[in-house]
Amino acid sequence: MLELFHREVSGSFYSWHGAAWVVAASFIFSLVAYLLLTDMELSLLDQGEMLFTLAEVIIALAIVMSAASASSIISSEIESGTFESLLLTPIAHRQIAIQKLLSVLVIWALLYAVSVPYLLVLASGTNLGPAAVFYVGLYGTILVIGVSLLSLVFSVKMKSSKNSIMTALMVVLILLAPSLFFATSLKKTEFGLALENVNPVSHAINSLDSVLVDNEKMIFQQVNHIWPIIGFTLVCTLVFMIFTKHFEVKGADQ
Amino acid sequence: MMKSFIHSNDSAMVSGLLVVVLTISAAYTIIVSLYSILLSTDNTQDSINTGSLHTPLARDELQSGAVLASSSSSSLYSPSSQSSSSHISNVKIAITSQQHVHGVAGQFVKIKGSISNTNPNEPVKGGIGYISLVDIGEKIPVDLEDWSAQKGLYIPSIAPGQTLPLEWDVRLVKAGLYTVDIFFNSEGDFTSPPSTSSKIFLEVSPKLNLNPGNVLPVAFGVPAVLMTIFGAINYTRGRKMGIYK
Repeated sequence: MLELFHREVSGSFYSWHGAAWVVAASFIFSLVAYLLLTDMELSLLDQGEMLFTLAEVIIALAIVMSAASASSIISSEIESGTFESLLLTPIAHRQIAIQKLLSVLVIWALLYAVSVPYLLVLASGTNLGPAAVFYVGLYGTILVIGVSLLSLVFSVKMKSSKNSIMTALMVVLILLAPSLFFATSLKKTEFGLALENVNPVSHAINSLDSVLVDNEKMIFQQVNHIWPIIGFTLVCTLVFMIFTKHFEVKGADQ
Repeated sequence: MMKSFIHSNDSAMVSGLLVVVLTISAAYTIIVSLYSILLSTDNTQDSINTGSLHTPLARDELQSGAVLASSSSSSLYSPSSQSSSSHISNVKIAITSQQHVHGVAGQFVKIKGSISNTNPNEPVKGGIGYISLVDIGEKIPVDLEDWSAQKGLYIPSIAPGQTLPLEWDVRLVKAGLYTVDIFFNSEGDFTSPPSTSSKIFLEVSPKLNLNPGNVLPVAFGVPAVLMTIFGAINYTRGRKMGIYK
């Protein structure tokens, strides 16, 4: 039933190189956590702020990695000429896409598992640990599903890894821009507010700010942020369902 | 012949996808622009109707902001009973919490006060009550963004002789010496100065979250464990394949 999924996952971690990104991600988390808790100036930050900074890094890394991975997952098979043989198997086309998507979600699951010790150590001494783990998991999962669905569609339709990865990364940058690159004054303009209101990543980051910095941990206090993110993922699911109904059997180099 | 047909199909597909992406981008831009226009229109109408000058964001913050006996304020609100000649001098703001507050960075403190209409005959027209924070050491006012999610509150009116409680939760972000003042600015009154409270002195001690004993095992341990696991898997597979003897 999930042969393709198993093959994808074992293929990803078959060699040392395939798993190198997990170690690289853990080094990034280590660096952020170490600096926050040992640097004289950074350690003056409130622990909520520290946790929020790490949560932002985790969410941003998860989105970028899932987009890069999903946007090349089918186009790379097309480019290497193995996609035709995959289509000859008695697996429905949409099933192929779904199993490929599940393998991308394993990347997020692994990244999340690696990030949990860091969240807990930064929250040590406060009551923010469970909330940080829960909300990072919730927003990370919903956003990664949405971004992966969209990136997979790019991969299916563009048939070229270079083009699909570039497009997916552009979408990711647009999604991350208001939260990571906009100054506070720009965010507070009507354009900034409107952009943040329609941007699921901004909702996730603002909600994490509200939970970890303003201590508003209850789920009902975050409902206004959760619905737009779910809405984004539902729209991505619809796009995915439309574009993965049937794959065309032809290579990119033909 | 076949190849060129596939090529043309490919180009059509890419062009189609580009059209879809451009359409979505255009739709997105239009939605954001319309939303911006709607927001600004709503804000303008609001300003005309109520005479308030605050932005939608500030208004949201004000409404969900500082704690006020909302039931009493709403029950007291009656535009017909408001006098256009209500004077700001009738407003008195008092501090009801401690005048000297000591805390540690990261801690939450409550700033409490009360606003009274000292005139027994006339109500005070609505306005905005807010706090102001000044860093005495740096000699600069401080942006409240990180300090308090509750920045101010809109008070529709204050009945004759009425006293309303005010309360702000303030998170002590950075060590230093600060003063906090509570202000009340009457709406539509552009000539009178705001009413102010006496000062609260805030002394924030630094809290060093230096915790190398706690973070070091995780910061070095997690990558080490991951490298060990993946190294072991790689080695086991290598042995099975005959790469390692």
